[in-house]
Amino acid sequence: MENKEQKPTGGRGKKILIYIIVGWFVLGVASSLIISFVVPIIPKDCATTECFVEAANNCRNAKLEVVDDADMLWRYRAAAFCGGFEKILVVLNDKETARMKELLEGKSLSCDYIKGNFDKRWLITSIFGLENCQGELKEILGQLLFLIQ
Amino acid sequence: MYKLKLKKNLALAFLISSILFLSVFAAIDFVFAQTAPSDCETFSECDGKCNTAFPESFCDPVYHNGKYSHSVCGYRTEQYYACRKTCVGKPTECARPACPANSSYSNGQCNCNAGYWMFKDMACVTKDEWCGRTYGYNSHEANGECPCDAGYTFLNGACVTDNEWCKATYGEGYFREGNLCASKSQPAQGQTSPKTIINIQKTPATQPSQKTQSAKKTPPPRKLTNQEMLARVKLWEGVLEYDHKDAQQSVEAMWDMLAAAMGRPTRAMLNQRAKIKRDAADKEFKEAARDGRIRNSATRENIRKMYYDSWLDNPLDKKTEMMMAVFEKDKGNRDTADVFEKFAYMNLGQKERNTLAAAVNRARESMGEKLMREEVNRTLLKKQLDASSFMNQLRQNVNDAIGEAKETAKDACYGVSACDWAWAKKVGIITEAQKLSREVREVMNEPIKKTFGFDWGATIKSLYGK
Repeated sequence: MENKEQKPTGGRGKKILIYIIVGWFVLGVASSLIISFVVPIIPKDCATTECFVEAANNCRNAKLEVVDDADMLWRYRAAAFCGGFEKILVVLNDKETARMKELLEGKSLSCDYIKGNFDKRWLITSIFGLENCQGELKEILGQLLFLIQ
Repeated sequence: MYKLKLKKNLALAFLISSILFLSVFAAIDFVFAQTAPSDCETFSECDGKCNTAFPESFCDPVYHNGKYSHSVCGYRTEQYYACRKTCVGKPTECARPACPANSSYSNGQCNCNAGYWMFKDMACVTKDEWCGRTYGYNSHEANGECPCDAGYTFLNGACVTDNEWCKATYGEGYFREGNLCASKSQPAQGQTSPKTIINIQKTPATQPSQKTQSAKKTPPPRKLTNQEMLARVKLWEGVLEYDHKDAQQSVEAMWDMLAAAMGRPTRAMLNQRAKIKRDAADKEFKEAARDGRIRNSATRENIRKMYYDSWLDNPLDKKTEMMMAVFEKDKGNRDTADVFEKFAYMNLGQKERNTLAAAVNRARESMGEKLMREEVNRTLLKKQLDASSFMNQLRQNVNDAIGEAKETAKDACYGVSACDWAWAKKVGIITEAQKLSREVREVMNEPIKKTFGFDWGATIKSLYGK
C-alpha cells in the first residue's frame, strides 16, 4: 500500500500542468468566441453620425436618434453582422398637419449594404441613395417628392 | 497522503475556477467597454464634447409635446453647428444657428456683413476673395461683378491670360497682340485679313446666379456640341454623386459617340441609319421576349448592344435612350442608366417638354388629392404642402443636389444651353420620384408612353415577366 501511494507524484504534477494549459487554451478560445459573437449583437447607442457609420461599417448592432433641422426625430438602426439598416421617422414637428403626421410618423424603410460600404447619404438626405432600400417610407417619400413643383 | 491529495485537488479546482471567473469577467468587461454610453448621453454632458468627437455634430434636446424628453447628438446637414448647453428650456434659441465669422443673425438667417459675400453657404469672405475663389485669383470685385484683371480674359468660368484665350478660341498658334489675336505665321501688325486677326471680345465674369439665369433663356438646340455633351455628363455626375467607375464609363461612352460621329456624312443619314438599327433592336427584343430567349443574359447583352449601336448614330433619340436606360439598369449600371434616362428628358424639345409637364401636373394633382385624402381645393392643398417643413426638407434635398450639379458643371455649362437648370430640376424630381415610388411609376407610364414612344411597364414586363 505504501509503495503504491509514493509512486505517482511527479506524473500527477505534469497532468495538472497539462490540465491548466488546456484549461487556459479552452477559456481563451471561448472568450474570443464570446467577444466576436456577442459584441456585434449588443446594441451600441451612438450619439453621433460618425459613431453610427463606423459601427454600421463594422457590422455592429447600432442605434442613433437624431433631431434634424426641421425638428423631426429620426431613429436609425444597423443590425449586427451587416444584417441591414433601418430608418424610422419617429415624430414630425408639432406644426405639421394631422394628415402629414398620419402619413409619415412611425414609417420606416430598410436598406441592404455590405461591410465597409454603408451609404452615409441614408443619414443626411431623405431621398438619395435609396436604390437598395424598401419599405413604406420609401414609397411615401417618392409620392411626396413627386408633388414638389 | 489522502489529505495532501485532497488539498492539491482543491487548490487546482480553485485555480481553474479563478481563471474561468477572471476570463469571463474580462470578456464581460470588454463587451461593456465597447458599448458604454457616450459622452452625449445626457445633455448636460454634451456641451463641447460633440464638436471634439465630430466637428459637424450638434447637440440638441429633443423637444416633443411641450417638454424635453432627452438630448441627442446628431449631424446637421446645414452649414452651421453648435453644441449649446443654453438650449435647455429655450427652444427658440435652439433653432438659431451659430453664424460664421463676419456675419450676423437676422430675419431667421445668417447674413454676411457689408463688404462680405457668402461663399458656398459656408463662410463670409471679402468680395475680392469671393471672386478669386470662384473665378481664379486673376479676377476682382467691381460694382457687384467679378471682371478679370488687366491682361486676363474670361473663359469657361475662369480668368485666363489673353494669350490662352486666343489659343483656346482660335486654335493653336494664336496669341495676343495689342487688342487682337494674331497667328504666328501672320503677325498682327500690318495685317488686315479677318481670317487671321480677330478682335478680342472680353466678357466680364459675373456671379453664378446671373450666369444661370442667362443659360435658362435659350432653348436647347437639337444638335449637341462636344461642350454640351460634356456639360450634360458633368451635370448628372453632380446630381447623382456617381460612382467613379460608372461615371468614367459614361464619359467614355460619350467620347465613343463623339468619335463615332466624326466624319459621318450628314445628320439626316445618321438618324435614318439609327432608326433602322433601333427598329431591328425592337424587333429582336419582341421576338426574344416572345420565345423566352430574353431570360438569357447573352441575348439581353446582344440587344443592348444593338440599341447602343443605334444610339451612337443618333444620341438624341429619346426612345433609344430609354431602352438603353432599361438595359444598363439590367446590367447593374445604375448610374449609366440614370444618365441615359435623363438625357432622354433633356433631349425633349420645348413643345414636348410643355406637353409632358402638363401631364405631370395633372398626375401630381390627382396624386396629391389621393395622398392627402382630403377633398380640399387645390389651392388649399398646395398651401398645406408649402407649409410643411418635411416637404421643405425634400425641396432642400433637391435644391442641394442641383446646387452641387451646378458647381460641378460650372465651367462646362458656361454659355451652354444644355444646362437648363429649371428643366434639369423637374427631370430630377420626376425620375427620382419614379425610382422611389411604384405609384408614381404607374401614373407616369402613360405620359412617358406618349412623349417618348416607349412603354416602360410593357418593357419591364417583357424583360422580367412581371
